[in-house]
Order: sequence, then C-alpha cells, then structure tokens
Amino acid sequence: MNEIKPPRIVERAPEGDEWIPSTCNLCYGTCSILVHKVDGVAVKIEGNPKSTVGKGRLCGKGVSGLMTHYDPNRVRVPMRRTNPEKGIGIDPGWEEISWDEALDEIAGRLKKIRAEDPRKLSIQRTTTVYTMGLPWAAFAPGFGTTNVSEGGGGLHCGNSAHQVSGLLHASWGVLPDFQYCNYALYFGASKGHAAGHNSNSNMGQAADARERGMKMVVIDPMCNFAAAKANEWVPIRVGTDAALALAMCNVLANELGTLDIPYLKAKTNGPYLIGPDGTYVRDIETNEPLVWDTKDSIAKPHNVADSEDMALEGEFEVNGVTCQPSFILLKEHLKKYTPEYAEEITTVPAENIRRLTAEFAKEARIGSTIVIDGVTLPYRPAAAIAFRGLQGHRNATFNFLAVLLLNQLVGAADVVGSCHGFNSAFDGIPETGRMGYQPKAGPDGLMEVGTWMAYDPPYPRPEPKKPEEMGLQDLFVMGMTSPFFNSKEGEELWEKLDMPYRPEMLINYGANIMMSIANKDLIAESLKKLDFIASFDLFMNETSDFVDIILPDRGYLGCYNTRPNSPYIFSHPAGMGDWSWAIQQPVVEPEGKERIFADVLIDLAERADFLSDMNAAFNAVFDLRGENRLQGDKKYSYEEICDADLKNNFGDERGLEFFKKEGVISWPKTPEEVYWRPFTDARVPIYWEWMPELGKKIQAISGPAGLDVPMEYYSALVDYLPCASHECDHDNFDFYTFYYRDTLHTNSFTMENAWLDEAAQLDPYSYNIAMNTQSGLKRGLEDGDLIQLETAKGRKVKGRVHLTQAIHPEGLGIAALCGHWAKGMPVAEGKGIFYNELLELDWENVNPVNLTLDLCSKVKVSRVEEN
Amino acid sequence: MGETPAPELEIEEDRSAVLWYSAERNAAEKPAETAESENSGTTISIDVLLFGLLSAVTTESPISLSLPSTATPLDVVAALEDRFGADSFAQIKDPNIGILTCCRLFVNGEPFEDPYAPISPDGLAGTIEMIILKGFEGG
Ligand code: SF4
Repeated sequence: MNEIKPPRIVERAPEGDEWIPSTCNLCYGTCSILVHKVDGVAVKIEGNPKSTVGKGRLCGKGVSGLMTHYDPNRVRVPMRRTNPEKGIGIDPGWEEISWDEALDEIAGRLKKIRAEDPRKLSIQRTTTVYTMGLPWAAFAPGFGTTNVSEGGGGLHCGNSAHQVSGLLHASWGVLPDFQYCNYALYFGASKGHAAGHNSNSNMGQAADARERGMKMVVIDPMCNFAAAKANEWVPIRVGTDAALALAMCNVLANELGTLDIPYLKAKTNGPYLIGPDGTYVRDIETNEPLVWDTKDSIAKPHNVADSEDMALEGEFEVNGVTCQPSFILLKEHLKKYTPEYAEEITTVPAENIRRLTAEFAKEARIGSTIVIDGVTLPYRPAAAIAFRGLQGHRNATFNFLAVLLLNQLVGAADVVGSCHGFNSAFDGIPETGRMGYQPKAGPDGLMEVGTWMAYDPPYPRPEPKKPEEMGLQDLFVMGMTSPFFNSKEGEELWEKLDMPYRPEMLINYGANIMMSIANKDLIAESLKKLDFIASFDLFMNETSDFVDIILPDRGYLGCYNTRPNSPYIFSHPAGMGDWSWAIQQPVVEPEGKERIFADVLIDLAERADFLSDMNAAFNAVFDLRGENRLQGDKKYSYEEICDADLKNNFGDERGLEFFKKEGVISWPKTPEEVYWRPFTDARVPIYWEWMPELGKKIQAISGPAGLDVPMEYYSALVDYLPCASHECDHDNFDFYTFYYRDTLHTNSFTMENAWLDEAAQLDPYSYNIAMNTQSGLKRGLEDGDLIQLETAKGRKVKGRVHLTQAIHPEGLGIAALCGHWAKGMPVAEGKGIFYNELLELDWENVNPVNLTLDLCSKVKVSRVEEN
Repeated sequence: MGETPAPELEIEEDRSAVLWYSAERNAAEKPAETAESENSGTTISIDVLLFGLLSAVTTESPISLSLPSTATPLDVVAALEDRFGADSFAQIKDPNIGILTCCRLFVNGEPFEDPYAPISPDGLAGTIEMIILKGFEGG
C-alpha cells in the first residue's frame, strides 16, 4: 500500500532551520506542503502528510517550485511600457517605475471607468494560481464589473464537466470511489493518474485501488497517463465518446435490461410525465410535475406520490393529454444507438461495446448494500467517469451527460464504490458548524448544489436576456466561461445585441492570454483594442507585449490564502477519510520590489475610492459575521482579512497565527457526508425537459444578431453530435489533433521551470507530436522528423513527430501548451508545440449550450524538409 | 394504459430499494398551508445599502424605505425600482429565481437566501445590503 512517511516537522530544529507549512499553487491540485528553509533560504519542498490534500505527496511540479521562485528571469519591479505600439514581438520599451507611479496611473484609470460604467473593466485570471481568487472575488464586485474571466484555463477547462457534474452529482467533477470501486470506466479523463483535482491524493488512492484489484478501462485516443496503468485501453476516434457511451446505455437499458429501477424512481426525473409537447405535465393547482401512481392508478404531483409507486413506463391520459414517463422516452431514444452504429462513429468494435457494458452492469451489483462505519448503504462498485478530454468538443454538454447517464441507469451515483461527485455534502466545521452545505431539492424537485465554484449555480437556471456581460453568459445561461471576451465576432455581436458599453481596460493576473486561449493573431487583435492593460506577472511572457504596466507578483510561496482547499467540491479527495483545512502563507521573503497582490488590490481600491465596496464584497465573499465583518471604508491589510476569515470560521482561538504554526487541521468525514445520495430527497434530470424551450428563447435574442442556435444541442434527450472536424472532408486532411495536460506541466506556465524543462526534454512526448507508428510509416515519416500540421483554415504549427503504438491511428496528440516565443522566458522559448495556434475562437467552434470551446481540429500533415 | 413490467434483477433480493425510497434530508417541499403573519398590516423601516455595480443606481446611502412588515427582498427591489426607475435592477431580477443567486443579500449582517421570504419576521427595522458577486473558477 502507499504508506506515507511521518511528518518532517521536528520539535527543536537547529537554529536557522525550519519547515513551514503552506500550500502548493502550481496547479489547482492545491496540495499541502512543507517548505524547508535554512538560514532564510527555501531549499526544499515536500508534501505535508498531516493533510488529506496531497496526503504528503507532491508531483514533479510541486517539488520544482523553488526553481520558479529563484528564477533570475522573474519580474521583480513595477514596469511601464514606453513604446505605444503594441504587437507580437514588438519591444514595449520597458522602464522601471515606483509602486506609487504604477498605482496612481492604474487607480486614475479605474476611477474614470468606474464613473462611466464599471463594466468597461474586465479581469482575467489564470487557473494556475486559482486559489488566489478570493481577493479578486472581492475586488471585481467591489469595483462593479461583472466581466471576470479565467483566461484560457476557463475556456479549456471542464466547463461542461462542471455543469453536468453539478446537475447530476452536486459537484464540480466526478471520480470513482477508489476505496470500494471494482470497475472504473474512464472516458477522456486521467483522474488519479495525472494532473488536476486532488491529483496527488487521487494518485495514491487510484494506485491502492488497482492493487486491490479494481479493473480500469480507459477510453481515450491516446494511451498515456491513465491508460498506461489500466487493465484495458480502448482507442477511440477523437471527440466521439458520446456515441460510445450512448450505445452502452442502450445495451444496458434495452439489451441487458440491467437497471436500478428503485433508484430511477426515487432519485431521477424518470417518472415525471411528459406530454405531447415534450414538457412536464403539471398539477393544475400546484404546478408541480406529475407522475403516475401505480397503486392508486392516478396522476399525482411528484412530491405527493411515494417514489415506490411511480411508473417508469406506460402511457397515460392526464389533464386531457396522452403522456409517458420521461424514462420510457429515454429508453426508446437510446435504441438508435446500436453498438454497430457506434462502431462506425467511434471505431470501437460493437462486440467490445457489448462486452464492456456487460462487465460494467455485472460489477454494478444492483440491489446490493454494504455497511460502512455502522451505516447501511447502497453498494454499486462500478463507475463511469469523464473529464476534460471528452468534453473539449462542440458536443461538450451531451458528451459528458452521455457518460454520466451510465451511472444513473444502474444507481451508481454517490454511494459506496460508485461514481462520486467529490464532496457534494459537508456537515461543516465541527466546532462552529460553519461552511456546511448539502445538495437539496429545488424547483420541480430537481437537485440544487450545496455549494458551487461560481455564484450562479447550474440549477435553477435564470431566464436568458439581452446580454450585458461581455461573454454573453446572461444570454447563454448555461455557460460559465465564454469565448466572446476575445472572439472573432465580439465587436460585431456586441453591436448587434446593443451592449451598452465596450471593454476599455483589462487587469490580468498571471494569465498568459496570448497563448492560453486560441490562435495568437486573433487574441492579439482583441488585446490591441483595449486602451489599457495592467498585469500582475512572474515573467515577461507573450502577453506582456500588449501590457501597459507590469506589476511583480510574489508568487505562491509569498502569498496568504485562508481557503486554498475550499470549497471541497473542487479540491478534496473523494471517499472516506479526513477533511483538512490548510492555509497558504508566505514562506520566502520578497525579492526586489515584489508585493502581495491582495494588498496591491486593496491599495487600488483605496486610491480609486471604492474601499467600502470592496470591504462589503469581502464580507459577502467570506460571509464574515459579527465582529469579524469589515467596517465601512476602513483599510485592512490582507493579513488582517485572513485573520478575520479564520476566526469567523474556527473561533477566536484559531486565527491566522494559529494556522501559520499548525498549517493544517483535520477531522474525519462521516458516511452520511460521503455517501449522501440515499439520504437526500432530490432528483436529478435524465430528461432535460427545459432545454428545447430554453433554446428557443436564446434563439429569439441571438438569432437576429447572427448567432443561430442549432436546436439539436437543446434537445431534452442526450445525443451524439459531431464536431466541425468530423465534418471536414478536404483531401488529405486525415488526422484529428488534440492536446492533453502533461503531468510535467501546468498550462503554458511551467515550461520556464528549469527542472521541469529538463524532465520534459527526457520525455519523448512532452515537446513532440505523437502519431501512430503505422500511420506515420504509411506516410513515409520517421520518428523525429519535423512535420507541419495545417488546418483547413490555413493555421499551421510545426514540431517533431514521435511515432508510437500508444495513439489512435487517426489521432495526433500534443502535450500541454508549449512553444513559447517570449524572450522573457528563455528556458521555455522555442520548446515544444504551441497547440492553440490551430484553434479558432468563433461560434462554429463552441458548444452552443454552455460555450465550451472545441479543442480538436482536422489537419493535413506534411514533412518539413531540413537542410 | 398498462405499465411494462420492470426488468428482473439478477440478484435475489433488492436490498437497496428501501434505502432509495427512504430519503428524508432536504426533501422537496410539500404543499404548505399559508399562515397569516402576526405583524401583517404594520410597516417597518428598512435601510438599503447598495455596493459595487448596484451602487451606480444612486449616490444616496443608506436608502431608507418604509415597507409592510411582511416585505421580502423582492418587495425591496420593487420599492427601489419605484424610486430609481423601472429597469434599474433588471440585471438582478429573474422570473425563475426571483433575485439571481449572484446578487448576495445580507440582512442585519446575516446572509439572506430566499428572495420570497419576509426580511423581518419579527417586524423590527433592519438593514439590507446588496452586492453582485461574479467570478468563476476553472479547472
Ligand atoms: S499536483 Fe499541483 S498542487 Fe499538487 S504538488 Fe503538483 S503542482 Fe502542486
């Protein structure tokens, strides 16, 4: 088993020798760390075994954080451009300025914009240091802008994964219950085998599960981090997972008939009666959806009938219309997804589809129970999970839903061994009961999340309206991040949709927007249109060419954060074990003129006269109560605000000083928190009744502006729908490209880290293009050849090909976001491939439901002759 | 009109069915009796503090309102719209949700979630703070 060595904190360290607890922020795994300092110099970073987040482990990036901190290329002083001309590779002519000069200029602009319309300010951040979001969560609303985006991270993240996981599991994503799962199906996910959510905790749990005998089947175009450790790798054509998952659902429902009927009756909207117009048949008095009560042979509101008596099949006359339970409509709908049809779409043989489904169905052990810590619970030791790979396509929403439907059909949802939303329920901090949350029934009895990573949860949805947000999320109400911050259509659309303002100023926090969203020319155009950009950065990167004032950030080893692992739906491992509360604190002294960015934001709020608004926002964001609330326009340091947050949650005895010393506190989870589903009387939608009407409402607004909503994406029943790349039939365009998150790198940031760069150079995949050996040989290519990929729109990238059996014959796999060209990142410059150069940022390439960007493309490959 | 029989289970006894059917926590609301509030008919003073984007509506702060003791946050918004213009709060109102979740409400310093619930069930004066929070974490 994966035992962790005891903590390295020693009772009496030699003079000048200390281990300081904090949190890694080099990805959103947010592992708890211990930093070893000798005579004031940080010399080593290890995992903190006292914490459940990371469980004492670090990945290669976490260990290498020192190299980022001590990199001589770091920005250490505020700087202002002297060259007004902005463009790729044009020297901004940087000059050093004082903090006062920098803040006065930025605050002056903020004041002017705030007086006109605060929404003219947009804020972009990176997910690389995502836990630094709290000061921004107060700064932006205090200022009054609603235009906050997550750079490329947001667009390239699990936009649909989060939305659908929220609707079906009250969580930000899904995982197998590693401790009890016996059969895990992975679709385009690497959970427990690579970067990302709770990655180090999950890696330990996944390794233990495999050792215990959990069978793991990975469906992915590439046999990399997860598939390499799986029992079986199922190569699939890029972007077609929904066709496979729906064929498996069809086999479950219509060939095997292996269904958890009580679960479907009690926990889904499967019994809700659907009329001829596709909508719920509702109770005339209460307007609640009706179900058919088989005991009394009448229709009753869903919240009146007993679940046990609800019909899942049949045809009934109610309120003068003929209606059927939504479950039977789904079951019939699935029939078109025969394994033979799916084989054509996905290249996965029909017999394999049937075999995998039968294995999954058998392992789900429908009807069984198990006792955990004295509590009897449903036992479903099978899980189908998915993440970013599967949902980085135009059909993002349905791709994800199709996979999660597998779990719904067999009742493998948030019970022992099953697919889990991680930490959807939390009873609160034991001593104070604070911060607790539970999923609950909302309108129509459908589940509302207990907590969420954004302020608008996935359900219930607001009505679409004429947009006033730059990203149009108030029109596309199921969207979270949006391509319209930087899109090709942006200005034209804003004009047609009568947007009452235009963006004028951007404050960027660590996002390298030029690289992290889509092709650089398009992003450059969008950045050039802004009057002013201020950016907190560690390095002069590709985006710096467009920035007016650069502010030196202290980085994750120099900042405070009281909630690096909260909310738990994002950052805690699934399953039984502990809750941990860690903090992040400065472990190194500032170098040069670096400042804690949160204090800089507070300074800006003071100089631009919105400190009382920012204090009110801090009160709201942290939910500060009583004497911990920030008062009026009094100026607080961020350290004081952190202290207030901790005392507010943990009591006066456990403020910042307590946590600085302890670093982390832990307490045990209960089975009712972890396996919450049977205890919670809320249903999840397997039939998305609201979708067609929502689509029509959006079309009524967006259509006249030129965004025609393809209604097939707004169907109540989940479908496979192809990407633009699947429809590209140009001669010789015969490869599908995709990129994946390398375990050695986070976004486009870590390539500047010398240790990680060295490791990546030893890895045959990190900086090369993976191509199937036979496919390469057929085209006369040899391993190491320089090749060019070109899209139908003429976008091109070059890189060296690595021939391997570990990739689907039609796939081209590219790791991470490399290919830097900025001189300020000399370690990274020129290494690897800038994948995003291939990507468009337009309506044709986003999911019309939640605006997820399609990250695949169809390309033609040619060898580049070298002298 | 009949129901298709449910598929047979492969195990002899479905032991988990009773667990699925017995949920109690956070149950969907049953139709409730409406009760007359003790304080209905009286009025209360409410001070409104608007922050961030909402503060652009007026420089007046706090905004003092006199409302029926049964007033809800939606009634407060309606009263503000009467005073400052019909569309001044359009960005936070929603026919499905009442007041959008991103608009956080605090009554006397305590968070207040339900836009349809009386702000002051005890009929006492109070302060309501309103601020729009926006933001998102990707991953
Ligand atoms: S997984 Fe992420 S947070 Fe954890 S050590 Fe690695 S980079 Fe740091």
